[in-house]
Amino acid sequence: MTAMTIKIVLRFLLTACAFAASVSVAAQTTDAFVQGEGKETVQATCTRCHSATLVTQNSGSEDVWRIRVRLMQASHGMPAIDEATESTIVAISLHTTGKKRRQDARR
Amino acid sequence: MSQYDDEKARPSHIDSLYAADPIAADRRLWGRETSALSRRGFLKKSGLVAMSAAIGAAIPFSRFMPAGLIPAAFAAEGSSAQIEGKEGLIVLNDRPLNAETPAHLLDDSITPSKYMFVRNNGVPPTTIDVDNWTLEIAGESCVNPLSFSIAELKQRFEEVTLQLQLECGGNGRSEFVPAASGNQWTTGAIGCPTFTGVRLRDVLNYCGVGADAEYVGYYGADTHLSGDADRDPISRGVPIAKALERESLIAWQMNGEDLPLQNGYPLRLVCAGWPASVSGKWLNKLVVRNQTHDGEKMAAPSYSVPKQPVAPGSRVPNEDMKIIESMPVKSLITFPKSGVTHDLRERLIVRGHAWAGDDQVSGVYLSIDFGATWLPTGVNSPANRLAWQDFSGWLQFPQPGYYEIWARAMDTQGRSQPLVIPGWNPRGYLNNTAHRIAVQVV
Repeated sequence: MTAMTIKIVLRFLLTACAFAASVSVAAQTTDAFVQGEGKETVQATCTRCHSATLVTQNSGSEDVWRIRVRLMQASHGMPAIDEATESTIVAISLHTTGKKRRQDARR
Repeated sequence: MSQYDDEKARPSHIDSLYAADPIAADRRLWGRETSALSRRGFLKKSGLVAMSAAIGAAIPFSRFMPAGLIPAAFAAEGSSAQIEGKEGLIVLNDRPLNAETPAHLLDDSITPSKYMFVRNNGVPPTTIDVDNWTLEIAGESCVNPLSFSIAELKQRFEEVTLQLQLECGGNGRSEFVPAASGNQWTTGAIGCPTFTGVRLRDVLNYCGVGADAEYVGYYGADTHLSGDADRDPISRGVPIAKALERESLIAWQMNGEDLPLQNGYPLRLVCAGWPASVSGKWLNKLVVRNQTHDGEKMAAPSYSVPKQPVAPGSRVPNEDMKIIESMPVKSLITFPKSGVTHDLRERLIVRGHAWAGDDQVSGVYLSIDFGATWLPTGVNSPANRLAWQDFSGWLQFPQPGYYEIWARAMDTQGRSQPLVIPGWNPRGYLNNTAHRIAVQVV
């Protein structure tokens, strides 16, 4: 093995380790939000910055979630996403949180 | 564990144990083992007994319970054990960290630092060199921009200690319907500890405040959640008149000790009576502006409400919103704890605090009949302007049964707390509904 190859292998291993470490943290907070389909999208967009609980404590209609996702892009540093990704995130948020009922608001 | 956590012994760090290895956490905490085939249920009865004891109830469908599942009875309580220097706080969000204090833990006249709520917008600084910490004073309306170390602030200006109430603008957001976006605070984003520091106006006047000064904005050492170094997580402030009030402080101590890390160590701004977001943490720069400060989260919809009342669920354009200034009158019952059982033959002592933004509280009233009749309580004077005021009274109940105690404060201008949720607004600010607690009289 040449020195070059060793360097590449090492770099790969280091990256893999760093990746594994960051994913395990993200995975833990994302699980409260979504498992299975859409999980990677959510990890790359929402829970990259904030924990899943910011989503799961909230509720609202499809329109409300769409506004929230757009506000995240406009004001809070979320990378711009395409329409399909937006629909995925909105659908998952809606599915996970449901609509708030008046009795849910009781202290 | 405080004396109030009587329901169940909650193992600390339960969430981190489960996060590391759920199956190992099952084994370590409860001695639980599951069938390798179904990965459900309990192989040994001892594991089930241990978990049931911790929850304080039997688990009828234990045979279906998946391996590695944190009982919801624990998960719902958040992970308070993990915030350094804090105790009993309910974590709403761990990134950014947002944690509120249950009402019964706010019973002290002066809020202990461990019970002071946490509302972070970004990531707190990790390495803090207090000896080399500098506060820069700048901005287009600052005559002589200067920098101070904390030692220089202590040396050059009069030291002041005041008791000051800080309440998150979104405290009570959870009660708005339709739901308002953001952390779903219930009643615990409020506290009134003492702060020690120097008057903001002494420092600003030393540097010289230009005649055209309009606003003072802050910057802190916390970083944006996205990791983008060019973005501030939050940079708000107050109009110059509020900044120059004698109670506006640059503080380095809470309750006679260094500020807790999550509350802004080593230096913060305290401008009480306004949304706590105007009181910047990890403070390292102040700017005297000739216009309304335009830092992060100054613009609508952040910390803004509709200029005119709107119907619940309305879309409100940003230009129809205004920045929140003084907070409305409010009170909190801190004793007894909601849900208490009380002996019919005894009087029930009721205590709490009331506050009114920039104003003062003129009275606090209690009702045990869902607001039909009200009894006045004794209300103390504030320790100083912008400190909350303690109230106390006693109640006697006519017969056994379920009661709610409602508390309603009034400010010196005759404004009082509404008994229903006040003006709906898109971000769910300024909910000052009367506080209610439950009592079983036997």
